[in-house]
Amino acid sequence: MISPAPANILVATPSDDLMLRLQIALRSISRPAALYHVAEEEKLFAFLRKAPGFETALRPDMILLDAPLLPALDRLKSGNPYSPIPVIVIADHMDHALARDCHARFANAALGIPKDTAGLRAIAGAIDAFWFRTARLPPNVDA
Amino acid sequence: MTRAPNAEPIHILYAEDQESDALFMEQAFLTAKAKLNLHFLRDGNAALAWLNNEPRLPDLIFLDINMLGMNGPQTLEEIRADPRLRHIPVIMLSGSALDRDVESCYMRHANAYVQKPLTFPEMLGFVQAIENFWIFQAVLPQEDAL
Repeated sequence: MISPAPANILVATPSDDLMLRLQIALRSISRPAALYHVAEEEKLFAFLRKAPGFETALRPDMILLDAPLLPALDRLKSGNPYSPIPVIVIADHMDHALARDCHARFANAALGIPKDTAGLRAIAGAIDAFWFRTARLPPNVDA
Repeated sequence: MTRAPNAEPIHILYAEDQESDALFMEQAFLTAKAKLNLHFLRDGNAALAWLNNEPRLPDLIFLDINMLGMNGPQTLEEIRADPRLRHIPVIMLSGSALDRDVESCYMRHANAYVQKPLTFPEMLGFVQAIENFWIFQAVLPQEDAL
């Protein structure tokens, strides 16, 4: 059996702690996931453009965007080559008002990220089941 | 889990012109753990008319891509252009696996694109994945959130 290609997931967060928690959680999903980390908006776009310093970056299949970097969502979804990439906005405390704002700005989904291991695994399992085993992701020229 | 199975029902609008596909999904959603209200409409025009007259907007919308009358992508564009509706998550359903169809829907701000399940076990898997991600984990926009 041929293993599925790794899902390239770009995590944009200024929080090393959140990045670590996501790394641990996404280890448990069925499809191998390659996680990349940028800590600020300009680095996010440099990664996507393969700008100097990111020449070998692969186009992500999905972006997990931490809420403090929400202004990047407007740039991501403004009708450019990166706009089809699903963006899931993540936050330690995601409430309905923030979720509504994210969706009105064309986020693909909004998630609260729990701190406990069981909650993290449940989130990772749900991402895996829907996005990697049920949904069709946009074609990825780097896949 | 961010949402308890005994929470208020989730309202789903499904625009689909094939009655057999709508019934197929309705049967599968009977297995869901969450309380769900599914509302079927036959095309995009009917869906938009319903949305414009319905005080309680749906939590999720499923749009078939190839409907007669107003098709799925056209309906999606109308929803995204309307400030009252644009925040509602929309999942596109299609028999097509063509990359251009997938990319075009994401470009028009579909939340996700799913190939229509062909068998009942596949449909049950679809329902489970929808429940686990969209209903139990994701935080959905709510009308009273502002």
